[in-house]
Amino acid sequence: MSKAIIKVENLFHSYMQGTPFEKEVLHGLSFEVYHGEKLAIVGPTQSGKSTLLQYFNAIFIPKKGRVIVDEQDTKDSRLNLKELRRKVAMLFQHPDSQLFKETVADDIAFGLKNMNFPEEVIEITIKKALATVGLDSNEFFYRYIFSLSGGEKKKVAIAGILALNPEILILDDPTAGLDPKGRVDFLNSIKFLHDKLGLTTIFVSSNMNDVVELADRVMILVDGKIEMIDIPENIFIKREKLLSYGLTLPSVVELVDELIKSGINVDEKIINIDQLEESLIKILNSS
Amino acid sequence: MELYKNTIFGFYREGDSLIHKIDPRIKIILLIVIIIFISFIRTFSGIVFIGLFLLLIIKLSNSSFFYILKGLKPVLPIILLILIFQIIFYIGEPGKILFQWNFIKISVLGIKVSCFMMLKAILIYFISSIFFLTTEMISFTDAMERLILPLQKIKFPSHEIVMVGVIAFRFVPTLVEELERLMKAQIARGADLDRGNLIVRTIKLSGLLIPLFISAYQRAEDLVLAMESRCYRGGEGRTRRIAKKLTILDFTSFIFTVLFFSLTFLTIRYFRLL
Ligand SMILES: Nc1ncnc2c1ncn2[C@@H]1O[C@H](COP(=O)(O)OP(=O)(O)OP(=O)(O)O)[C@@H](O)[C@H]1O
Ligand SMILES: [Mg+2]
Repeated sequence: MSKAIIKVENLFHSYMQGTPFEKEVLHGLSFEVYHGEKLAIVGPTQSGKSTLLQYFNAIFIPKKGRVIVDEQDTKDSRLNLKELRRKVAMLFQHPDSQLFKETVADDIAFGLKNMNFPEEVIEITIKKALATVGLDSNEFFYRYIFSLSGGEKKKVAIAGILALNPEILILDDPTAGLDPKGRVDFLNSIKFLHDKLGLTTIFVSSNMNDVVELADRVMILVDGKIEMIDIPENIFIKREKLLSYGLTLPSVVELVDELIKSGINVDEKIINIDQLEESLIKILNSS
Repeated sequence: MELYKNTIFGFYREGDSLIHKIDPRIKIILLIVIIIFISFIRTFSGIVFIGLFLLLIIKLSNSSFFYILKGLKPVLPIILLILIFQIIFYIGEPGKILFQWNFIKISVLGIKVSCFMMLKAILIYFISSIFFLTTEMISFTDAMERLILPLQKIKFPSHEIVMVGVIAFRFVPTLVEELERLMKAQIARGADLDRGNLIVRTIKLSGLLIPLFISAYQRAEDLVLAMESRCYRGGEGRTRRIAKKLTILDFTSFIFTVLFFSLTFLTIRYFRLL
């Protein structure tokens, strides 16, 4: 197994600490994220996913427990926070608040200026970042943010963080609110980025089909506790458990169950469409 | 990075204490009475009396004194600044002067009067906090509307004014949330909003205001659409979903408070404490 780039040890989180509204939402999480992997974090709504993500780029600093990113403890007072936040790029759940400048170029430049990129390279970097997410820079460079569609906004938001040349990509429910084509496009560009730049990718998703398509490993987070963390094949075999957490199953898995019910003998471990196709062809040929 | 925590003031806390149960109309009237009374106090013993009274109310409402006190923290620097200015620039009968330099005079009386004002402001803060901690926004605005409804007869737009107030109040937490999101998004891209001197920080905060205003306007637009598509057309002829009647508790609490204050007032007067 490759080495861990993020280590979380016994992490607790409470909102509104020291008030009568105090509420513990993460109850002692421990896990590791490996270098270069794509980890999916899945859980019912309000289970603490977004809260957990904010520990990876030190927006939250642990009061109880430890988070180590690239061998640096985020609690360490000597830590260079800016450098850490350049390394760990984050796409928030609400892309609208992630874009806060008037034009696309201004917005992407925001991070570059904060990180003290020299003036001459900023324009080139912006164009390169737009190209990476598949947006034509002639068309989009001077576009107003409010004139963009939801999918375009997400892409611009990603361009804004990719411009900083990160090593870890954190995506909070990135495909929510995208239309089917936008979703496929988006997943492909994430795959492409991962393969081309070798970014470690951590993403939250409420869509199990995204998880099957993208994830190397899956974490199931329920009520602030890790219920499972494993490769997708081992996760989706536990159908009853997943359903009992209020989660859904990937479409292919549902299809496999239907096939088995109607007497077609496919392997119940199958989770994606290619495996299913292969297995069905085999069955057809043998009969 | 949690703004929410510091915006306690105005947040309702569920409960079923005695104070929670008093009719909001009575509570509003009592709040006004108490605030007026506080502004009339002129002696420290008066402050102590009110202080004791507030402690009793806090006890009865199941709130925590320290929790309310904490809500003062964000405005503490402003309070202290005002206090210092008041002391330095106090103009009144000079009395005994402790220190003088050019036009700056620090007198015993100045210190006394200024501390007094501050204590009064804190008392008012406390009583209003207790009020909002124990009164749901909905029932507060409903009560407000009923209290000023009679003014509708003289063409005063009570319903509309209350409605505007409700929406404004309702949007405070939403805006705080939005601001928190924006700040996090900027921090995540390397903005250090929490560092630098006052001027640098102010400039950086101004970068938050514009997007915040834009999103507030967008929300306002959404709200108008949502209200119109549900046929909202102002207050005339609207009836209430829940009609409230005053109970024994309301009368007793009203009478108790008014009696308490009259008695305090009289005793203090009598012993020439006020
Ligand atoms: N700023 C905040 N202040 C107080 N409580 C909060 C705050 N943000 C989140 N919470 C609470 O923390 C819990 C976990 O929230 P979180 O946003 O991490 O869940 P989530 O898994 O991301 O949910 P979703 O799938 O809806 O995005 C929830 O109960 C939520 O109400
Ligand atoms: Mg979330």
